[in-house]
Amino acid sequence: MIDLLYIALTLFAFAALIAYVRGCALLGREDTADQRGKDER
Amino acid sequence: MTANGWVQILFFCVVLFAITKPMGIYMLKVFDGSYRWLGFLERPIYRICGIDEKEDQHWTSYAVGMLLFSAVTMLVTYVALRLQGTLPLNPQHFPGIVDRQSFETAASFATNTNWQSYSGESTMSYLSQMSQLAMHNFASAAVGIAIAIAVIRGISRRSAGKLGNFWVDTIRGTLYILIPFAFVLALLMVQQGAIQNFSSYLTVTTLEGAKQTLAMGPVASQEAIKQLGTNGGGFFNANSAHPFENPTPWSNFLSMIAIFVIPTGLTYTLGRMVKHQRHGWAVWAAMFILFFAGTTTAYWAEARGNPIHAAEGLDVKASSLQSGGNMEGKEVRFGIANSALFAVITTDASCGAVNAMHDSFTAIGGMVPLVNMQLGEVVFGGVGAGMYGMLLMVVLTVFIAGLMVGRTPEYLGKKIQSREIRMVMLAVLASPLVILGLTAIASVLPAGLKGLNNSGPHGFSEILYAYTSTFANNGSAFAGLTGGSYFYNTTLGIATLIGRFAVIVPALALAGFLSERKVVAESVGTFPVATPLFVGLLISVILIVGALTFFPALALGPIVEHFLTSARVLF
Repeated sequence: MIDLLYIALTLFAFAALIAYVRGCALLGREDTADQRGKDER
Repeated sequence: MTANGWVQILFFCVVLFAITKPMGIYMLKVFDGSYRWLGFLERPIYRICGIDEKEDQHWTSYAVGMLLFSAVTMLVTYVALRLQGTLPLNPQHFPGIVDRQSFETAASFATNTNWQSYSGESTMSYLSQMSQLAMHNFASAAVGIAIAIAVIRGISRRSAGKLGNFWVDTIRGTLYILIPFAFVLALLMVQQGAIQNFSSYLTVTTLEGAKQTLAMGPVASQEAIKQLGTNGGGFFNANSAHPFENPTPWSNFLSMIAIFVIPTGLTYTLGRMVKHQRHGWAVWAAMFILFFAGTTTAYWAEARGNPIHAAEGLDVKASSLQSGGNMEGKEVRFGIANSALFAVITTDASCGAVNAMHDSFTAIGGMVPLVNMQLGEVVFGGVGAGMYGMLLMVVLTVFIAGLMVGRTPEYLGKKIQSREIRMVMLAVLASPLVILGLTAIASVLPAGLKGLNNSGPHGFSEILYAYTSTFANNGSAFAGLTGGSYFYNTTLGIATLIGRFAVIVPALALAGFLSERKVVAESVGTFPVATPLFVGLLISVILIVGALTFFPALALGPIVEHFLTSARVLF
């Protein structure tokens, strides 16, 4: 039972990290859009 | 402090400087594909694994590949450790490792931390040591080097977020750097007296007639990659203080050089890849100054010894008959200078191997390893980890310099804007969040306090050191804490995972973002990144970020302990 919990914890941690990659990519993309707007202005 | 001690420290510094350029050139040529002397092995690996070596991955694919690789190898290790009792190469018939320790050990080794809450010689079978722990020693180190190279690529080229190929970089790092160097180092270690066998443990009769068990095993091969990959996990509990792991002062010197050889070389590789060699040397200079300051402080504190001894009239001066200073927890064959030097090197890098017990250092001597780790281990640092950690600091420095002169910050011709700084701050803020947060929780919960063997500020230092060491992926222990419990095994395991990957992901994102930037020509307003001013500012930023973040915690631990020791209060 505890084995399953530790395996689930590991899988959850890495799933969260992959989501973190996506989150960082989104942060960068939003900024690019912001900059483009400023340039156009 | 003695002249002999200083000569040994300065000799290490000279050798460190001398190996930087050749190692840097070798790594540059390995990763740009121009040295392929093991191509007859490399190409079949790509074919078998289905890797297209020409594929240039976007930073997100690079990061996800790295995370999946780490997740799978960590889970395999968890299962292998749990099943140890039923697997071969286990002459001592050790049972499977308990669940909490399997989790922590798998997380710890997959992240290049190698925090060990067990004694290797009484817990791990030869199969576990070789197929799991040693495998991670190679793999996690290769991943670190790959990430550093990818981050430098992002800085040095314009490639729309593409940073290279994670699988190719990891295989090249393993095949061309770690395996050949570890092989040679293992032979040198055997020549010095480190053991390498599959024998059952020996029972011998001592001169006093008592029976003693001598642990055996494939130690030299483990030792070589342990130092070279800045892993630090010892075959024996005593780590590099054990005579079978680190038999002589010469093997000790080789160990210290092995810890720094890849990180120091990477500074030269940086300079060549960004086509600004003086910048590479400027980064090296900043690292060296911080390293030398740490060494001087630790050596001074340990050579000075315990002030209570001197106050009691004991002779604590070094002479031909005694080393003087604080010899508690230190090996006589290494002495104070080499123990202080090793402690600084192992915590500047993310190694964590120890040849002396840091818990037995004086308060200030013990604070130096703690501070080294809290600075982010950017002083040469772990293989690869030190370089990408330092580049985060460089970007922050350039940003602050740009703000000071009122211009848009540029780093090597690329503009640093808000999204780059967001990534730097995500990486920088992860450390106080985890280290201080978990230290605070462990300092108040009964489950955390139960692991303490010392009270007062020294006990607090033990908890702070444990979370600092695991977050920084160092793995050395301030030996007084009993970390073998569900609370510590689980929280320390989580700290290693966050410490590794919550820094790598923003570092790769930063590199990806920079690779999308146009390179602009240098102007009079560009902050030069190869001058003494840059070195000074970089050191200041590293110290200020570390000091502001951790000074209050240090004040509650080693600093107050230092003053209380002078007032004859011990813990």
